[in-house]
Amino acid sequence: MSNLVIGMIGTACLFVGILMGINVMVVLGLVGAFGLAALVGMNAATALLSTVFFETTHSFHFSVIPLFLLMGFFAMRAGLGEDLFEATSRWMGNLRGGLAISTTMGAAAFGAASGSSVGTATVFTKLALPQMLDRGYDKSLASASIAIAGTLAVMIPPSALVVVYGILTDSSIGALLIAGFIPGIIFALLLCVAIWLTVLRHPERAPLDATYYTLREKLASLRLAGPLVLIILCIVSGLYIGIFTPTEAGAVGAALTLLLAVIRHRGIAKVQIGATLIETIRTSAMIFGILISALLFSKFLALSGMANAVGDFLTGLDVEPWVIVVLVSVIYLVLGMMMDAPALLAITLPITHPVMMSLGFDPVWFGIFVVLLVEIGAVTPPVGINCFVVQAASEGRVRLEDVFKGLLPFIMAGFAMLVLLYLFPQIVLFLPSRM
Amino acid sequence: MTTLFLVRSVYGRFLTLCGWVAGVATFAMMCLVTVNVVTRYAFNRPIAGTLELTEGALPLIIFLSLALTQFHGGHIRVTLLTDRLPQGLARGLSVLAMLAGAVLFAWAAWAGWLSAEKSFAIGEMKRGSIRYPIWPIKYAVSFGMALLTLQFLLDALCTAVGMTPASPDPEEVE
Amino acid sequence: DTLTYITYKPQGANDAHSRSLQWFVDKFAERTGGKHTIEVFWGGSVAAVGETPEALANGVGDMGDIVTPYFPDQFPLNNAIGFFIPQPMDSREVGQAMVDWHAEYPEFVEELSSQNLHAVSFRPLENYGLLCKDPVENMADLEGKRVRSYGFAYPALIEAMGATPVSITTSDTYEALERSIVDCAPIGPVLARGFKYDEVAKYYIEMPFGASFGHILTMNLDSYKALDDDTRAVLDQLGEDYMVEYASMLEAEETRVLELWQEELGVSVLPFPDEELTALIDHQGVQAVRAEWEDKAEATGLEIEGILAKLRF
Ligand code: NA
Ligand code: NA
Repeated sequence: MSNLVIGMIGTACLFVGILMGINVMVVLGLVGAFGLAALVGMNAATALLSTVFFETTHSFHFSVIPLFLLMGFFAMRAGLGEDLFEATSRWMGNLRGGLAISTTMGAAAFGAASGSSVGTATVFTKLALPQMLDRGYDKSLASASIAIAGTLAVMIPPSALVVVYGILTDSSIGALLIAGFIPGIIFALLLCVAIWLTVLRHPERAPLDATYYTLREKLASLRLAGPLVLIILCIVSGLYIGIFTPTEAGAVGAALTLLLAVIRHRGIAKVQIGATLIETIRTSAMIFGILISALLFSKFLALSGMANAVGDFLTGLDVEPWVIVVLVSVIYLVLGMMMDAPALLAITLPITHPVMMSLGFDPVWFGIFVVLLVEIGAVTPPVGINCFVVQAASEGRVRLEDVFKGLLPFIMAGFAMLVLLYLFPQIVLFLPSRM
Repeated sequence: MTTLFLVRSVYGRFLTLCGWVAGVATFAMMCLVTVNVVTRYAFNRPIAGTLELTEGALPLIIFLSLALTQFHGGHIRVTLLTDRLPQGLARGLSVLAMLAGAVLFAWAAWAGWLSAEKSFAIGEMKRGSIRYPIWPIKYAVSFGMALLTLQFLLDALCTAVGMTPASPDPEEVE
Repeated sequence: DTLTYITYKPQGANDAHSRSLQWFVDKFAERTGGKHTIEVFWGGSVAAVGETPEALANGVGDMGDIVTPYFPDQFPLNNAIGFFIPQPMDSREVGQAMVDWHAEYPEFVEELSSQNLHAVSFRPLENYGLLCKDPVENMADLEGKRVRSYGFAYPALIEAMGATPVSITTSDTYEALERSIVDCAPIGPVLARGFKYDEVAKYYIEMPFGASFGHILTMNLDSYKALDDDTRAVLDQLGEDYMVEYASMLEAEETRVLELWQEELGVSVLPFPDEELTALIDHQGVQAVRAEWEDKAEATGLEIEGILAKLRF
């Protein structure tokens, strides 16, 4: 049996295994390990198994992942989400669709302290969903806008997923983190436009809110956003003007958010540091489990010649580069329907990254582009992790179908963002080129 | 069945203890890196060994928490299809899935053990601004995967006798 | 047959390492009359640097690059040069020394063969100096400076200079230099260009650290033994020729970089009083690193005097 055939069988097994409900981590690792054994023998596979787990985690760079997660969890404890939602809704609550818009802006701001799409979706489901539903918002509009707003946390630094891309492609993590800032803000604005257009066509989905805030109350709410300015100053400018490396940004950010949480709760007891740490390590373990298993799988894919064959096929196509970009995007959108973001990146990047590089695309640009693609995948049915989270955190007030039904305008906004990124790569490259 | 449940929850407590070690390591890492930044700017004196200790800590953090994450059902699965299957078949598949996990991590734990033995035999050191032996970390990696193997086996057993070991807590996912 | 070659180097690197490897691959096919070829898996897609020895020993690939400085405990003898910084040999001499030692001392070969590995050829790195953000004329100028350190010999040497060793990864060093997290980094011109450090640090101090070692182009011992006599002869000869080809590629690159530095990049190359660096060898910490190697080497039964002679100024 030729290596290529083994590679194809392995890939088929991967998808069957995932659909059978085996842990994604386990399928990736198992197919990778047995695939390697089929290609080069049991001893060789055991040799790689003996080194890959330690070598991948024994790294200064990768410790940024638990630190970013810790920062996000502390930000939740510090009540940053509440403050931001309160502030934005005082300013925008009176617009039609204003609560949904302020949720989006609040989530974008919260994203500057949290690196997790799912975490942000959870926080804002708890904060904003009850408010919207109580004021007569359409269930689909309310829940879907929260599900997609969560993805902003991944574009705007800090972002665990962007670090995963940096790790898998050996690109500059500092440049990648900075690069997401402007696209994140533009995407947030696009999402607001999508909400506005939806409400324009269907005014009944978002009744006007009569709650009135005086200018004084509005200005007072800005104070609530103050701590966030501190965080943004720390992370974004720290990375940008170069006070520290990404790992250091993670540590300092986590320490600052912890400080905020302590101040807000007037003491350390209510911050629940222990519980926060346990949450952090469990999520870290989940991400690294997938990351390492996916590395095993990608070693198998490389050795079988599959990765090269698909890559050669794509680069060998006699078409304009944008056709390849569309093809690559379609692959991500299709796979993104079934798979979660870190796993999707880990499986596909060994193939797509070299192809895009050989076409002359910038690694940092592709990083942001691909992260947006997989984040769109994080809301698309049937496996849309953000939607699951919103549904679960809604405590039964919305059904999964409600969330999915409201997504269309936001997915269109995502497509618009992809087109923007393709047409104006400077959106991504402007800041890193000035670091 | 109650015995099994008891075994699983006692084991879970032990895993939580391991998780605490990992959590404290994470917190210590945060403090060390932050203090290093501060002393670098304030006193032009970085703390020797920050890089080396951070590198050494991450394997401990990850592998001491892998099993705990499985205990809480936190490793991602796609239940799209299996949710629509008849219950018996779904349970069968679920048992198979857990056993698959046990196979992978038993293999990996054994391979990791070989690697740790080798590291111990040559006295492998971390060398930088500070020095410390690397082999204990490699043993810990193998130990963590052994813990996960055991957790998968327990979950396979629990599922086989009809218990629901743990459903993923959505807030833990990403 | 097709032999597989695993390397951490990306194909697109287009430096002396990757181009000479491509040359090696092409020549192998040519000299075996196309009967045998080598398929390269670039960019660590099959094994990362840290995984390579284990992967090669167990036949994940037939051949590959072992970056020896990552494995001072696994390959102490073949890392001799790494324990002796500074030492007087340049890049070509370091390569020749490795060849000679493998020919003269069975312990060097043994160290690899006991791990089911065989050295096909050697790839020494270039001569190292110190790249700094500010001009440095003598040792006194280094007092209190933060110097990037890595591996097992530099920390002690940098402390002996009266400077502060700061461990950072190779990929972080660019940012660290740019942001003055470190003031200097030991490196050679070609690598400094490759990592773009010379964009942010404009003074190259000619401190005579000597050339570093390096990479062993390694083969799985079973795969090597399984070759027919003709092919093995081709490979042995190719290993020798490779070093010549690589050395001239490296020198050409160095010349090109030095020209670039003088012209558009504006990097000044400053002389340094050699004796101020060599005087540090007597420093206790530096001696301790050397003694560590001597102990490890003597434990294998190696006669070390001839080796030490080459590493002395
Ligand atoms: Na973020
Ligand atoms: Na999806």
